[in-house]
Amino acid sequence: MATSQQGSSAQTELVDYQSDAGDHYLSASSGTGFKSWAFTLDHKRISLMYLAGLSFALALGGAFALALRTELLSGDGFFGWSNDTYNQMFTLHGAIMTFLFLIPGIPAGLGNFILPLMLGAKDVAFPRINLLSFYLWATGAVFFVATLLIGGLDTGWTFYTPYSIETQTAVMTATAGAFVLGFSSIFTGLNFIVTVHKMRSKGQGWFQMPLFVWSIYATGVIQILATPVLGITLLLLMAERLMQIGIFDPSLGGDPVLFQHFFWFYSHPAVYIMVLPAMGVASELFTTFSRKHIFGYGFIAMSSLAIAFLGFIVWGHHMFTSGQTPIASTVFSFITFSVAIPSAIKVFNWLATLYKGSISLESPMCYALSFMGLFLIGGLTGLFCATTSTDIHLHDTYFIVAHFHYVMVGGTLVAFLGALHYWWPKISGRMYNEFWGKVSAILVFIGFNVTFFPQFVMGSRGMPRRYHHYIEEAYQSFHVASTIGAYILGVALVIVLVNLVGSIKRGRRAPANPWGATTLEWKTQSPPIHHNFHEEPDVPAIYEYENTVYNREIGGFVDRKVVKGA
Amino acid sequence: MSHDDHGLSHISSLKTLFAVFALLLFFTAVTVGVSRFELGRWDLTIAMTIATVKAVIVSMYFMHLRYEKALNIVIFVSSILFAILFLGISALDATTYQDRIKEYRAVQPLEDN
Amino acid sequence: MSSANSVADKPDHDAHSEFGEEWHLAHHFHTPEQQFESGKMGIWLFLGTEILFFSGLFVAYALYRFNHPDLFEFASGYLDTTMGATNTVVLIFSSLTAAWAVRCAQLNQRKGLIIALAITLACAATFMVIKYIEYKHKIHIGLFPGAWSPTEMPDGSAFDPKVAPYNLSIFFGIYFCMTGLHGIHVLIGIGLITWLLIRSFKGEFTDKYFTPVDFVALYWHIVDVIWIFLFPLLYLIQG
Repeated sequence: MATSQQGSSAQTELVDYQSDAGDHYLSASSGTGFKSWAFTLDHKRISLMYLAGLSFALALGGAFALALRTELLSGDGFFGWSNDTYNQMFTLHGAIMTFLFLIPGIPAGLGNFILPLMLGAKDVAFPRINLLSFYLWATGAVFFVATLLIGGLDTGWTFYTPYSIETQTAVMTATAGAFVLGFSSIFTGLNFIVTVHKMRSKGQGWFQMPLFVWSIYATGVIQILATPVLGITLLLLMAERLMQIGIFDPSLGGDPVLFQHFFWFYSHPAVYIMVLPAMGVASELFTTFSRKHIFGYGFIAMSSLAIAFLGFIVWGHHMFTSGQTPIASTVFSFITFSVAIPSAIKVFNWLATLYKGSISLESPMCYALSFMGLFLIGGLTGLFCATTSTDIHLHDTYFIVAHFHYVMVGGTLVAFLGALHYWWPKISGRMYNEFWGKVSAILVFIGFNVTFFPQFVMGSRGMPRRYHHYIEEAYQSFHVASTIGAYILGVALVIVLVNLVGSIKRGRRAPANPWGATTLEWKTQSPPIHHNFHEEPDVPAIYEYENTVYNREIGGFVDRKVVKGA
Repeated sequence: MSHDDHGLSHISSLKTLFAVFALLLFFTAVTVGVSRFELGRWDLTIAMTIATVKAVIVSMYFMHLRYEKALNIVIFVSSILFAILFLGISALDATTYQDRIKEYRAVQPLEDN
Repeated sequence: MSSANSVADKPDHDAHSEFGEEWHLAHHFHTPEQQFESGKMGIWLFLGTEILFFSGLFVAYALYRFNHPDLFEFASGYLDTTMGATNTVVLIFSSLTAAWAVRCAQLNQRKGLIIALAITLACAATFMVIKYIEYKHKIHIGLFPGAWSPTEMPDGSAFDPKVAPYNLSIFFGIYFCMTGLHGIHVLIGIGLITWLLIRSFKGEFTDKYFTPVDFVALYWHIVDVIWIFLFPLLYLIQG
């Protein structure tokens, strides 16, 4: 603790956790060579390596998205791609975004950095396994890039049989990649669950944990219980291609729709692996930037677990038109509606947190508000898709595309960006440019809506997904709007990158607590030292904002601590 | 140190270990013996019941689950419950496509059988 | 997950000075109990993922057996119950010695630990040898996945397509996937037990540090448990 000032009252003391010693997890004392990164067991450095990799994956997936949108500018194809090329493009866009960015994005990328800090721990429970997870992720990424180079993939990201057994594209490489990425995800989830159970600092009970930790915990449960099934599914698909085991191949007497059951047993819960951490981020951002205790803490925490559980028993809503037995469809439809309950609990509690709060529209808050609106649209349109009768009409149209992009991009990506801006001062020790931060948030919001809102309209008018030729009179204006929006979104993401990376050179030094947040990661210097805390922190009453006070001199918040016996 | 030297985990007695081993051998003999008789649909039920009993004994004593923290028991049991959930819901849809697979097979060139 | 600090980790002087080297306490844990219990929870979570990993095969098995009971009854006749039962006994015995090895480690019985691990390893190898003999025979008579017909009937007579049920290959697809994936787990177990054996020769395991033995034994037991189910499901089918 560098500065420790006497407060106005004799009983309280103002504490600034920032240290001027210059010793932190990136400094020379923690090692600077290649080996200090390649073999690091520090969760913070592993997180940074993830963030670098995730940016690469996002850029790659984004490049495919822009190419797709450009092709769709005209009804007979702007570039004049063949059908096969188009199939490959949307498959690679989907597979890369899902497996390489959305699933590891918030938990492995940012959670790695923040989770141990929030628990007052020195590291995750198993630092070696954490590093292994990262290398598995990197191996999976190599497999995907190899897929790109040796013939692409045209099955859609879902690898549906029997086509995935027949196609001559690099299905083996891609499934091997997804298999390895699955193990990366399992080990991350396992590590985080044990960390939450066993590494909390003294005095931090379950209900003193930040809500982000709850959401990561619920995510971990899904990762543990669902991902192994993806592993075996992909293994069986590989065995099917190699040895013709016949389980999924109708020409050998197998049941191709069984593959869909196997696949969605993982992949529907996987949707919640993507969105639950985003909800956790939103909970942190809303309370911090309203300077008001989170409303309904217990409800938000428990709704994460409820969503995690319900996520396991709704997978058949992906199969309404596959000929699934009507009993199953009815049950799945009904349970799918019930997911709306815990989701709505979260949204209402966020609204109640905002109500009469002292709201400041910093960049992370702009992202959080945008998240809430977009997630709401994504979630509510999900109900149209969950209704069996309307789904027959909406199935495989742009309505579905828009629906899941509102959840995956409007939800997960926007929350990821908000979280990145929120924790960037802690991660890098620098403040980014607030003006450009806000600009990027607003541009993401505008670009996103311009891209995907028209897709709802054209989808409900019958524009099918995965087609690159369409009737221009009916759909071209929507497609052109959508493409313009995609470019705005692309520009916004470049602004984010330039602003954040540029801040490392140009930004002012970040204080320990720039936002006045109350969770433990702000009770250490920015950036933190190798062991996170100089001494094991006292567990604060979280979300009590009278305990942090703005200090003009340091341009950040200091803690108001009650001194016992003063 | 406040705990004794073997405080980290439960130690099984040799008597327990060998008793469990003997029981497992016994149940293996029973399940092989029973399979020689024609029991119709009870065949599978009996075989699975014996296998479950064997698995429970292994996990309780060899794997020390009986002496484990409740949390670890919950983890293990819930993974089994989720596997059953997976089986149960997939089974809802087990027969839906069989006729169509048969039809599809009927028009395929038959290189086998 | 449980041994000493790495290259990048600087020694941390303020932490747990009261615990000596023999506890193998990593820098980020406060006490050996915390470290042990974290590891224990981690391994149980991992075993849970193993169960769900195999669950896909069990689901496939259940649905196909439900739809094709005659096929399963017929095809099971190709499997050698004696070999399957022998392998069951071998694995159960190796489970006993694995549990015994943990006991030896907990009681500082180095010699006993080495013997128990060596027997476990020998049993694992025996299992794989028997498996190999079974696989070899199957492949020899043309019983592998895909659209091929075997050369023999279960009783050894020439193959008769009029008697044999449709889609024999599905049973053997499932058979090879289930026993193959289980076999891969046995091979991984052989690697892990060898690693334990080398470390126990060096005398690295004590009553204060036996986690690797404990966790590998748990893994080995789950491999045994899965076989306990595979054996009756594949070998002991009667109409």
